[in-house]
Amino acid sequence: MTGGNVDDAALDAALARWATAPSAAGESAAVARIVAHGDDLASAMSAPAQPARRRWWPVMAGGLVAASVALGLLLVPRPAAVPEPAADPQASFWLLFTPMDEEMLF
Amino acid sequence: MRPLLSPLTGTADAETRLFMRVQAGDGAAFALLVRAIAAPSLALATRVVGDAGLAEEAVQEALTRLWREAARFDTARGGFWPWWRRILVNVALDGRRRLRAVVPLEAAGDPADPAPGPAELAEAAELDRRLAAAMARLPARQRAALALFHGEGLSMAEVGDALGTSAKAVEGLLDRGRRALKAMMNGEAE
Repeated sequence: MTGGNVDDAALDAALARWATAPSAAGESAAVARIVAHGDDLASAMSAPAQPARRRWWPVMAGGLVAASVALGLLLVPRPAAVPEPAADPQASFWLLFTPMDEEMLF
Repeated sequence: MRPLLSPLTGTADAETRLFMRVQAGDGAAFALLVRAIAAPSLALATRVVGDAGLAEEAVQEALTRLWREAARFDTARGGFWPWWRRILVNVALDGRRRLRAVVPLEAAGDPADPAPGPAELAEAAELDRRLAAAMARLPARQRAALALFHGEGLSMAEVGDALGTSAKAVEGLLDRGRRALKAMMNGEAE
């Protein structure tokens, strides 16, 4: 370090002091509070959480429902197709020009 | 006081064995574990967040998370310390982001080496104050990388494990952090 400027060596020395700096004045009290917090956790809860088991039954139930629907669609007979009556080319013409009662008045 | 480096170097240790008992629901083992890790964890959190009060809150919150997530710990993927460091550093960084703590200049502490004379001590103390002020303005992840690398003596891979990033990225964080610190300490950066 020259003239107040910080070079690599001075920075390294400062970082080493920073890394090994003595504890702050209130650290022992803070550690005591942390330990008390740990004791609270240990006594307040019966056991740490266990990993959630993979629930298989919703997947199984969904699969069963889907299979039932698919089977039902396959097995239920479709209604027979209703044959359309043969088209009469004149039918629509006569339907259009069938005289109505009102027309008959004139 | 425990040696600074040994608790956080991630060897198969008593803490790992204790934590395996915690996983089985042993509350007494958890209480013992907390006694073993409280002081080094507080020291690490303080370096990461730069504020004693915030660090204490971070350790307590991390302990709660540790207890809740105990079942997820897998000894096949490493010992207790790497797992705990990840939780603690994440919680500390979250807390620092929330509050944007500013380190008081007194937080730098006194120079550790009593051998130099008064002039050297005064110069070192001045340098420490400038470092503390610069640290307070450093981005959180750069500060955390410096804390883990210099403070805990971890390798870059171990720092990367704690920060959830690669060793190469840690190298970049450390380099940028050092350059930023130097610039701020030399008054080149506002």
